[in-house]
Amino acid sequence: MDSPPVLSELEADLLNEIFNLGVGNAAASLSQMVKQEIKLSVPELNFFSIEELSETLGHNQLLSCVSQKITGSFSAQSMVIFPDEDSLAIVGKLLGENISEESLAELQDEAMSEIGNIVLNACIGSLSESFSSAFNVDLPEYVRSTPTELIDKKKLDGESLILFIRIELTLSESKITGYLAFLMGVESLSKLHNILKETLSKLL
Amino acid sequence: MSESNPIIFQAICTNLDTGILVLDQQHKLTFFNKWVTDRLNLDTENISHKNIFDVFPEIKNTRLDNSINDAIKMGLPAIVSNIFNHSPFPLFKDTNSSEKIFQNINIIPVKQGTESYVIIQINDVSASIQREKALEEQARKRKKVETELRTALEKLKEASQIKSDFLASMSHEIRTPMNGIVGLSQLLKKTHLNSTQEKYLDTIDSSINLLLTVINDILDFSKLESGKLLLSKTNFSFDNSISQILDILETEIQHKNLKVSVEIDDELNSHYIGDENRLKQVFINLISNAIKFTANGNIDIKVQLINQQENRSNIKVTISDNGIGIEESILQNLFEKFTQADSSTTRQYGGTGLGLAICKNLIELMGGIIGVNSTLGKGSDFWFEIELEKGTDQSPEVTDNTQAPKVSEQVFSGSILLVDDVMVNRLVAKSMLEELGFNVITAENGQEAVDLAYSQAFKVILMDCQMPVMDGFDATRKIREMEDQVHIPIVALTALAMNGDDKKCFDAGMDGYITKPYKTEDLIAGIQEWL
Repeated sequence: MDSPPVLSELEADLLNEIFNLGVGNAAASLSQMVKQEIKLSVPELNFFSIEELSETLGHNQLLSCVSQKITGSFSAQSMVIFPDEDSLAIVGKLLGENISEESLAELQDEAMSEIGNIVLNACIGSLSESFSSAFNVDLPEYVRSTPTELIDKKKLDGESLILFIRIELTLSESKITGYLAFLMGVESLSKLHNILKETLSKLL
Repeated sequence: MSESNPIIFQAICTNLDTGILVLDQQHKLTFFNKWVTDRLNLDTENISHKNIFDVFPEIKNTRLDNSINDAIKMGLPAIVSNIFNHSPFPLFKDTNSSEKIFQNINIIPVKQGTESYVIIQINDVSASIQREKALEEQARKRKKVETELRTALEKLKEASQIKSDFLASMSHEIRTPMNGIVGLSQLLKKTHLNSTQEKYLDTIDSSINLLLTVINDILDFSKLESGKLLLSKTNFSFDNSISQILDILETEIQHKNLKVSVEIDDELNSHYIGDENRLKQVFINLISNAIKFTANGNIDIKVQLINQQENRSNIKVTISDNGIGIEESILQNLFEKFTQADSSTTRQYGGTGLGLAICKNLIELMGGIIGVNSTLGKGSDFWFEIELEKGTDQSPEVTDNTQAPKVSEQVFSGSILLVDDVMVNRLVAKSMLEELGFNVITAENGQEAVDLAYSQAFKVILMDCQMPVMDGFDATRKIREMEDQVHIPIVALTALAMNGDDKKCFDAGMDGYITKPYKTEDLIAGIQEWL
């Protein structure tokens, strides 16, 4: 089994900061779009194996996931994940109370796709600006499934590690926990590690 | 392909059912297809190579604007859905329309060497939005109808309650004058009458009986409908009940010269536990029907054991006649209220059409089933099946009609206190009681009764319930408070005949309950226990 890279404290701090910046921008865009105050923060960042992801999210937990494949200085399947019922709650809150449950379920896919797209774009943008390198990014795709099925669907080849970032979304007084996950191969991870080192050396 | 075959590229773009806009790095419109120009109501001649924000100033500072910029600057693709951004571009159903279309937009960055472009793909999702809106509207309407139905149901329940209340008060109002008519006609019989007068009086009597049946039917049915009728439990025997009913119906049976046979299964227990009075009511209804619709012939009453469990029996009762019979088309509705076999029979045979509906409700209340088999012209079999708990065997009751002296022949003595505010009622009861040999003292309200009970001894007090000054309930409570050791029997004599009225009397401390109107026999039966 591939083992996750060991990041130095500074490297981890930098990566955390990059994502904080990204989700901060995403929150601003979302707030502007839905005319409600939305806050996003990144309290925690980890490297997981695929097995650990299932354990953390719950083997049978139905997930609502938006993914965008990125290629460039490193490659990854980037994903925004919310437990399915939470994603429905988010869409419900964003769209207001006049929507029936049936309609809400129908709108869930499209709405989550756009929300996920905004969050992922902001994070990818933040990575791209911090590392001064552009990525090729695919259009978002929406999937509902359990963690294992999700990885099966999203895995291209060889990816076995996950950069796993817990995000907290605060919306009209309720706090909802979601996740950012970057599914990567060992090679991509070591590339990311190197970029982090380079960026730090330029900064220091 | 555009370079290799621009004609094919052109043809594809022109016929696509989706809008295509291409921007360069400077936000200039380098390409747009026919789909877009078909939906713009502005001059499209000069928009080529113009800045997209000049052509569509409305998209400035929107999510679309941000997404286009992210795509150009960082190569980030985006989806801009109609959910959060209804109609970002000023695109209409057609060039003359003012109705904007709902749009789902994809923003796709493309790199070609050092040049980067952004493809904006626009889909018209108005149709699906409208469909969703229609569904929402439908759901809203459905909810509204549901609410309306619920309100209507509440109102209906309310109306039904009002009907019950009205019937209860009507019952009291009708029973009071009926009491005068019944009592006085009975008293009148005992005076010297010529044969014509006697005949008239008999007619008055039978008219009264008919009227009483109608009133009781209506009240019973309203009680059954509102679920207010409660069954009681008594130890009874089919043998006894049926012979009592045949006694009641004796005149009618003899009048029509009908043969009645009763056949009771030997295997049946001699006694069962059930509501004897309500069962008798069903018997009376079914047997009277058989009598009514049979001109001459037989009526057979059969009581059969269907199934025996430990202490319960399944019993089938069949009442067969060879009367006019019933048409098949009418059979299924026969047990509905206000239904009679034929509207023309209403004139010929009379009746409220409630009898069978009451029977059905009563039998169902007892957990049984009721039905009819009939052939037009040949007769009908009315039957019901009920499950009853076995009762305790008792030796035949001593109060056999043949042995006991007739009520009118019995001689009584002692004082009775009669309390009633209505003069006619006092007259009727007093005359009946005096005829029987009692000494009758009267009081016109509860207070007078309390005072008299305090100063004199009575065998029985007959107490009306609703009276001015002090009602019968309060008077009873007062008497109970002041009596020591000697318990004076107090029997209600009242026109309050709805379910629960008897309980009110017993709760106040009364010992018995007689409803108006009553005949001499009823009066005796109601007080005999304490004589």
